[in-house]
This record gives sequence, structure tokens and C-alpha cells, in this order.
Amino acid sequence: MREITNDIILLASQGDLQSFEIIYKAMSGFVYNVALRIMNNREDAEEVTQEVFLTTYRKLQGFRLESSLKTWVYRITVNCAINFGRKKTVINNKIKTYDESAAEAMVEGDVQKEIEKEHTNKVVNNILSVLNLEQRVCVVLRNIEGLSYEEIAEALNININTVRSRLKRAREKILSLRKQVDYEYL
Amino acid sequence: MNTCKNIKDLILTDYMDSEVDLSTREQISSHLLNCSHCRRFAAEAEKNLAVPFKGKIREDVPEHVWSSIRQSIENAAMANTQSKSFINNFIQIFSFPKLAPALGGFVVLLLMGTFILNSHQIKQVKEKEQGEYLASLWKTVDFENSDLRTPIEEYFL
Repeated sequence: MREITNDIILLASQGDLQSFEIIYKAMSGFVYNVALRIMNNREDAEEVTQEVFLTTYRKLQGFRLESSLKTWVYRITVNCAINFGRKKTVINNKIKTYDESAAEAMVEGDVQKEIEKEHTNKVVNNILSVLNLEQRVCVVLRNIEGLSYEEIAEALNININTVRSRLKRAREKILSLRKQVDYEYL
Repeated sequence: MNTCKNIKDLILTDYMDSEVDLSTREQISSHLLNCSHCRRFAAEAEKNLAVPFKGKIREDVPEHVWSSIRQSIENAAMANTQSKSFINNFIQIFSFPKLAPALGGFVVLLLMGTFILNSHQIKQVKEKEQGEYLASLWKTVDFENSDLRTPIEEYFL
């Protein structure tokens, strides 16, 4: 993956598509995967990815080089995915109760077996489906994309302690519900 | 002094996410060695919260996404160029290369206008002068006493 230099950003902001493609190749994995985990739907994730990069291309002229392009794109991605999700009300409709969704994942055994059977995606989606939108975004940015607390706080424009408390509540919820499921399937 | 509650909170956040400094990590590790309850909790947290995300869960972006983005950008650029060219065409009508003939035409029109106006004014002045001259003649001639009659007129009179 090529490094995104200031020259590339400058050229892209002047409409150079080749330079913009370099930015796309460096950032699209993040954008698509965050959108996919938030939307839980590939078509929606593709639509959000397109929207994020078209917005980025349009607004690149006003981008100040002293700030981080990565953080800026993170913020556009999260805002876009959240707005898209709210608009389509996909998220609320797709959230099942943990008992249902986790049962699907846990029927054949524990999480480790699921991973071995290449059902990782299903397990992850089931875990995420029990979280509210704010908690889900934090868990995706931290556990899947590996952002630091500081980066998450910047992307979401929130305090670092809010990131901490959202992650804590999300994980407590997952743990408590998983214990119920473990109990039922023992 | 670390209580089990604090340790659990840290396990669910900074400890799990490697956001703690070395000394705090050592304190937590030391507590876990001595507290079986927290050790079990840490194992549960690892199994249920960390392990599921350790597999390959990131997906590749489909190829066609970039094609769509590129197409949208090119279409927008083309639409922008078309609207700009319309404005430019409009401006070019009055632009420099056509300024000379436009100015020439304007001067010709101005001269023609001036000529027509002058002719009209001259005609008006002439008519006015003629009228005044006849009127002055009329006033100066004494038809009663003047001897302007011709022999023929004399004969008939």
C-alpha cells in the first residue's frame, strides 16, 4: 500500500483521479469494513463506501493538510454509516434478541469451534447485533479496525472517557448475554 | 489498592485493549495471580470478547465499487464542464476577438444616427427660416401705397 503524501492529497484535491485512487486504495478497506459491520449488509456497505469517497473527493479542496486525512476519513465514514443506517432504519430492524442470534451461533458449540468452522463472520455479526449503534461503532473501530481510544474519540468527536465507558458497557452486555446462552446450551 | 471491581473494569477496557502503561499492567497481572475470581473473569472476557475478533474478519472491497465512484466523478466533471462551456460561450460573444467588428458596427450606427438627426434639424431650421423670411416680407410691404402693379394689372384695374 502506497503512503499518502501531502503531494498526493494536493493533486487529488485538484481533481487528479490517479492520486485519488491511491487514497481510495489506502482507505477503502477501512471504510467498507466499518460500513459492513454497522450496516450488516454488503449492498448498503458498498453504497456507504461510494458515498464516503464521493464526499471525500468533493470536500478534499477544503482539506487542511495539517490535520490527518485518516482521521478525517474515519469521521466521514462513521457519520455516513450512522446517517445511512438511521435513514434506512436497517439497524433496528436487523437487531435480533441476543437469545435468537446467539443461539444460531452457539448451537454447534462454543466460539472457538465457530472460528474453526469459518463462521467467524456470523459470530461477530451476532455479537454486534446485540449492541446499540453507539456501542457497535466503538467495538467495530476498536476490535475490528484496531483504532486506539484516542483515534476513536477523534473520529466520533467524543471524549476519550466516553469511548472507554461505551466499550465497557458493550462488553458487559455481551458477557452477560453470552453467559445466559452458555447456560441454556450446556 | 486495586479492588476486584476496578480490576474487572480495567480488564474490560484498557487492559484488554493494551491501553495501560507497563506498571498498571504489572499490577493487574499480579492481582490476577492471587485472585482466582478475577482470573476466571479475565479468561471469560478473553474467550468471549477478544477471540471472536481475532480471525480474518475483514473483507476485501468489491472491485466494482471503485468503478462506480470513478464513473460518478467523471460524470460530475463532465456536467460541470458542459455548464461552464455554456457560460463561456455566452461570455465569448462579447469577448475581445469580436470587439473590433462590434465597435465598428457601433460607430457606423452612431454616425448614421447623427447624420439622420442633423438632416432633420437642418430641414427644420430651413423651414423655420423660410417662414420667418416670408413673414418679414409680408410685414414690410405696404400693399395700399406701394406701386407694385404691372401694366397688365393696371389695365384691368
